[in-house]
Amino acid sequence: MDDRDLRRDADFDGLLAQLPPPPETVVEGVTPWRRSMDRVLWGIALTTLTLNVWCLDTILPAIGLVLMLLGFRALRRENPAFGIGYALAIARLALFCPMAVWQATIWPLPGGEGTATVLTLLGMGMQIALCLCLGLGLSAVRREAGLTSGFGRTVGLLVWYAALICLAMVSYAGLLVLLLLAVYLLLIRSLFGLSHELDEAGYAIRPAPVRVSDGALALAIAAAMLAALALAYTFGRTFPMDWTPAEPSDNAAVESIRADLRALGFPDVVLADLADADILACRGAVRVVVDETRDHPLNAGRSVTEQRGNTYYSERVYDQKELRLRGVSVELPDGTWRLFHHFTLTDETRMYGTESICLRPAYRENDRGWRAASDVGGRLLCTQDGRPLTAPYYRLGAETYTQSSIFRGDSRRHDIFAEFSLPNKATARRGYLTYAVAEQMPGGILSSWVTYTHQRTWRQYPARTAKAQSMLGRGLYDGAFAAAQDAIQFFPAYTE
Amino acid sequence: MRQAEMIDLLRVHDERGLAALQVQTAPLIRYVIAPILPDPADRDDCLGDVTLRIWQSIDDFDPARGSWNGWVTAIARNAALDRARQNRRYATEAMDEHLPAREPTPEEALLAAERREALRRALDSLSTADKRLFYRKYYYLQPTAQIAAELGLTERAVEGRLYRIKKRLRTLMGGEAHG
Repeated sequence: MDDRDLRRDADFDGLLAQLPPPPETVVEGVTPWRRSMDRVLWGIALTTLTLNVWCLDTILPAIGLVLMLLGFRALRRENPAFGIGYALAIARLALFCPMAVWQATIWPLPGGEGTATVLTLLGMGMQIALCLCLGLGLSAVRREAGLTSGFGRTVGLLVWYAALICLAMVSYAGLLVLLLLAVYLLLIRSLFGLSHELDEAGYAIRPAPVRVSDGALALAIAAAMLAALALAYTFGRTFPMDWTPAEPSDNAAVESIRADLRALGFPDVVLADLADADILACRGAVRVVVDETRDHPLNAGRSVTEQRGNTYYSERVYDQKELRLRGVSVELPDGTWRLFHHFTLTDETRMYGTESICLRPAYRENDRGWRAASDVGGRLLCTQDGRPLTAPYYRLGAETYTQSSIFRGDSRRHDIFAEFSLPNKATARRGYLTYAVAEQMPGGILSSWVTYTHQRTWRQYPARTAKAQSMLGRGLYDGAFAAAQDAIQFFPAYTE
Repeated sequence: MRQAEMIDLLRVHDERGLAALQVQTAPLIRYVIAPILPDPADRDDCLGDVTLRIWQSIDDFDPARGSWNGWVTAIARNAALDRARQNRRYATEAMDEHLPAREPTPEEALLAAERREALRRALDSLSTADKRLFYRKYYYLQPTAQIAAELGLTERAVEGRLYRIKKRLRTLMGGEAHG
């Protein structure tokens, strides 16, 4: 830098010494407390309000918790109440982040609903404690500045918060929703009224210095969360399946029964997939009834509008039907029937997580014509790198649950669910479920329903399994899932 | 006591207004004068000066021209700078007493006024955040450490931003032409 540059710098610095008074936007912003206080207040507001759209019920509290952390960080050395608030803000964020990441996986919390309840109550308790720390901290600052403590607004805030929590813990509808909204608004009003507590006393605050800037810390937290979410979505969205090579059968008895079933009309494409035990269970078969094979779409299709005369007709057209469902029933010598529900997916169908089959068996509660004659079994098959593979279902069993419908209201159901994941880099992905039923009241219909639920995108939060989606009963195309239904239905007494 | 009530009492020179002023406005005044006057005794004296100036010139406060905090800030800053200059003058009086005072020429005064106007226009083009940072350093004379702590930045980040702001202002003011 030469003499000319030095003179220029000196001239400019001399000019800066004659700065005009600042505009009001600068005066109101040059405070030691406003930035940190606004962050704490916005943080409390964002962690209180929840909007259940576009994942805002997770994003807004996440932003709020980071704001609270940054706000209390600056105030941590001012007095013990703010110091405790800082520790609580860290703890709250440390509690929230793993939970938020866990919800991107399909795995339930260890301890299930009990753990979720405890964590929710802990979070609420921390939130109230944070409000208390804020109020006590503000009071201490005001007392230090020779002003009255002004704890009244904090009491108001705590009262509204307690009311909010009480209302939120009660399952309600109707007018209480308006009451909840009113409490929300009063809470927010109390919150921002608190900021005026520091209009005068706040100038005495001395924020603590930081080694990492607020922006860098916020970015680091966001980056860590995104990385954790990416890992959760990558490794936590499928079931660990036990795929083993599918060995051809060398059992003569199995081959004999297979030939008999073929002769009775059992489709080869299904027969080839049956395990030895399932074929042996069909020994001595006297009759085979094959249901119509149907192809089902697992996509939204496209809407096509056609004009006929003065009327427009709109229908949904499916260019692709990814799922083929087949039903085969085998009558056994003792009069029992063994049912097979078989599915095949096209090789182009992409897998994004979990799949499920919901079986409403013929022996379900409201159908007394049939009783269960065996457990439900089955298996999965695919071909990967030219090798045939097979695997059991990840989970196969009965589930009793309540399904809500705006048409039917709440209904109690008891169904069989098969849960599994299929590999993307595989072809000929297929499987089946099988079980036996015995007739209790002759002449009735044999009706066995399956609903296949397919996950058609990884983009869902919180993550839900195909079975959980199926249990919601929200229709065949909802959110990240698509479903198809099929049934074996015939009158054994009248079918040849 | 509410601020409006305190101002009304000050305007009629009611001592209750003065008592409220001494309590409620003291934190703001101390905040403004602390970076300029490092000595605690000077700060206490200056606090008294500022309170007296406000008491005596309360009729000059016009809410239409600015806020109470802005007016008090300007009085406090000027009082602190006066005291700081006074302290420096006492310290250098023996050396300087034989040097004649140099008044600017009319041309120099006109040039200085033009440059101040150019600076004001350049400052108007800054964002609010940059303006606040700049005024903190060059008007409020806050140290970099204080600015960093209050804005949640590192000192290095503050220095970097101030450097970029000064560079931008020089460019807006014509750069080489003001050399």
